[in-house]
Amino acid sequence: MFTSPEKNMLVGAFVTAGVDAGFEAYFEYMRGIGTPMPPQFPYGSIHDALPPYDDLIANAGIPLLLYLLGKGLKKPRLVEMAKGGAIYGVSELLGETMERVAVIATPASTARYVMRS
Amino acid sequence: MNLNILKLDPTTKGMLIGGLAGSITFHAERYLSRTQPAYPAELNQKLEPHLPRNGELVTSVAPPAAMWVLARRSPKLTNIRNGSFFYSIPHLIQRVAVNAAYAEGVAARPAARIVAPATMSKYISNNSTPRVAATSGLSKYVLTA
Repeated sequence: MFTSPEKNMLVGAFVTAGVDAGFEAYFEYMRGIGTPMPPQFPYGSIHDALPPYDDLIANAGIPLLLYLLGKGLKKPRLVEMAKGGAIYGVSELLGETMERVAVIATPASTARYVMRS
Repeated sequence: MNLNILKLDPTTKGMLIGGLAGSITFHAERYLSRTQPAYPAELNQKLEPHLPRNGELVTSVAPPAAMWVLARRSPKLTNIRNGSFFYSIPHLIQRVAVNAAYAEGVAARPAARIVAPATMSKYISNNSTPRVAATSGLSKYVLTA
């Protein structure tokens, strides 16, 4: 179904999602235990409408790191992985931002939950 | 005027469109579930505590499945289908991991227990009777398990 470069891209998307999952899973585990993480780095955000730092690190930082490594080490495979990670990361960051903006724009009377960072 | 400021080739552009379609579908569902009081309860429920909500499962699986069917009919949509896979499948696994972590956290939450008394009371006859421990609150004694 996938060609070789597409398989590398899929691996890159999984790597990015894995780092994202690591940050989110730790946050949720601590919340489950009953000691939620304070809204500071890496779980804070510059603005309520923007994704928190952990999302930025995972979804933008990891593809960038893969890209720089690929270019630096002259490994086209890593560059392809960076591309896949970027497709996952850009989509996730844009979707998250749109959702946050929509929640902020929604009148409080209709909102059932407050957006957490 | 060329608006392609990122200089994306048509393949990458198609993949990005597919990824964005998956992401917008997922986040639109989550927005609706968080803000609409009349949102269907079935979509807010979970099949199992370690899994995401039913609505999240549906919106993670539906876009790549729909694109897979459409791409079989029209090969032009192959790149969009691939982009949809690159976003939705890793994201679904991410959501399962996050929900599983929360469920494990809840399971590992320490139960609210009263510390056993440091010294045994002379009034304790055996383990089946309630034990007492001194406290500094309003009550002088607290029942322990």
